[in-house]
Amino acid sequence: MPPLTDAELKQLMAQLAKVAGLELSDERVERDLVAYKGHLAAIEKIRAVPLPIEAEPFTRLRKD
Amino acid sequence: MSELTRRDFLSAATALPLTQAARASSPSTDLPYLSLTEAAALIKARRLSPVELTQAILDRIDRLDARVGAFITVTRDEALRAAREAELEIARGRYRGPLHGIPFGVKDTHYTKGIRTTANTPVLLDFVPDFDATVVARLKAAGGVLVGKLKLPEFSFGSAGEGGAFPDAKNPWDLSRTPGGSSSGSAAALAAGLLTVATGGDTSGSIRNPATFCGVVGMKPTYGRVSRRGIVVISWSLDHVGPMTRTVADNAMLLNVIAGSDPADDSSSALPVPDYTRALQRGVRGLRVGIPKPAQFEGYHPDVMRAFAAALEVYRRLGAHLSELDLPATADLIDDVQQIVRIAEAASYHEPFLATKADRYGQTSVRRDVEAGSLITAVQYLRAQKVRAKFTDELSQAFRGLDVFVTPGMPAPAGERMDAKQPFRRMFNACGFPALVLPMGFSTSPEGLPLGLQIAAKPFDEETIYAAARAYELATEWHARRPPLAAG
Repeated sequence: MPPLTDAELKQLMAQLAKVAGLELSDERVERDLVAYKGHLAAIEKIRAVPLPIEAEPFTRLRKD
Repeated sequence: MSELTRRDFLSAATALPLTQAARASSPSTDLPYLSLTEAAALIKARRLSPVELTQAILDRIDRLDARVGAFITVTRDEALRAAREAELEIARGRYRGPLHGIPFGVKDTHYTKGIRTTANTPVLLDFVPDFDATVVARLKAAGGVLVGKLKLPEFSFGSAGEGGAFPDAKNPWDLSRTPGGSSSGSAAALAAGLLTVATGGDTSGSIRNPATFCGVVGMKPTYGRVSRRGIVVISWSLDHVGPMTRTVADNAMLLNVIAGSDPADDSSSALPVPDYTRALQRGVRGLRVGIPKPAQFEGYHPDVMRAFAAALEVYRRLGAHLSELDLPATADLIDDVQQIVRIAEAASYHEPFLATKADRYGQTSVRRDVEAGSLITAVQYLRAQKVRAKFTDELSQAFRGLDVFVTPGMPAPAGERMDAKQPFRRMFNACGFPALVLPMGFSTSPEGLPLGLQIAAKPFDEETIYAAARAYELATEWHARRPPLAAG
């Protein structure tokens, strides 16, 4: 999928915020854009890790 | 019992032998730099009054904290009252243990009953908890004397920075440089002799980073070893609370006090807490020490690499076996995983603040980061958690043939350019394994800034870390140096 433009990302942010119950003004969306792009870049890298279908999201630490 | 005088308290000492660690006499100017081990021995032997020690600390705070800026709140009256109570109890023969009568400070994320807890944010500027964090309660129950609440960047976000409710602390080794963070005040206060011991919090390296930059000892224990109850949250699954001190022995003593199961924190471990001080004399002969491969030091400062090579030589000389460790491939993106888990959990914690107090955030990136974090989906968060679990499993396997894994504490000295590919810091928040830093030398360019050595181990094996750290400390003298400010 081609990367989203800043305008598309801002539109997406406003919509996601709305369904999350978060009031984000246009000014806030503008300010938050850089952070959201940083999160998306990290998510993209994480998505590239192959995981088996059995992979679980939580572990409990044990003493050897 | 009639009111106790200092002379009454100290007079008992004439009949008591000094312990090996205690000094025959300590000029009052040295009291703030007494280690916990030294101060506890003197207090137990009634050769040092808790009130005298607390007053010496408070006097030094008065003299120097305007320059260091380590404290948000100094609890002067409460401290002197607690010190007098400790003195009275000890005089009556009810000595509680090594923390009795010892001045301590906590990061201003720790709830303190009746004392404001700001997390250095305007959002919580008027927040006065009605209970103590479990860590604070345990320190008080051990007879510790709370002297104050320590600085951090707003809500503990980031390793340093201005824009919160109060200016951040400064590095006592060079007041123009950052002390690191986010437990900036804890590390700065210890280095400047403004406290005997302290605690900090570590979500992304926030104990180990400032401990390195300020030349003190900081332990991030295994996740679950120390209760998080009553600590302002960044991220429930990544937050750790740990001891910060000037020596390794002090650190072990402090962890003895704060570690252990807490019914009020479901993430705390039920495993019994050993006496960590018993590991201090073990030595490292035959210890299996893992080290990173050379390629993983890309971007490290030459002074850090020189000091690290010298530290490895110390371990070789002491009889440890060194071998290079193949880190799992997922280690290369564990900082990305940590970022998503941290910010998604932080966004959830901040949800009520964003709904009702969004305009009160400071002039920092916190509001921006948590607002953007609110847009991460559950599936994205859980995928990060799955990769985190995979990394933890793979690192557990990689650690099987090792006792400890050592790295530099930070890739460069305080305030210098940091663009290392692998900082070896957040990975131990992600997997929850214990990791400690201690002084490893000083930079030459720029001159005189502390460098740190990080020692990590398997889950719940803090004892082996203390054994390795103490052996290195005994073989070097870095921990004994004081910043130029110390003479002030």
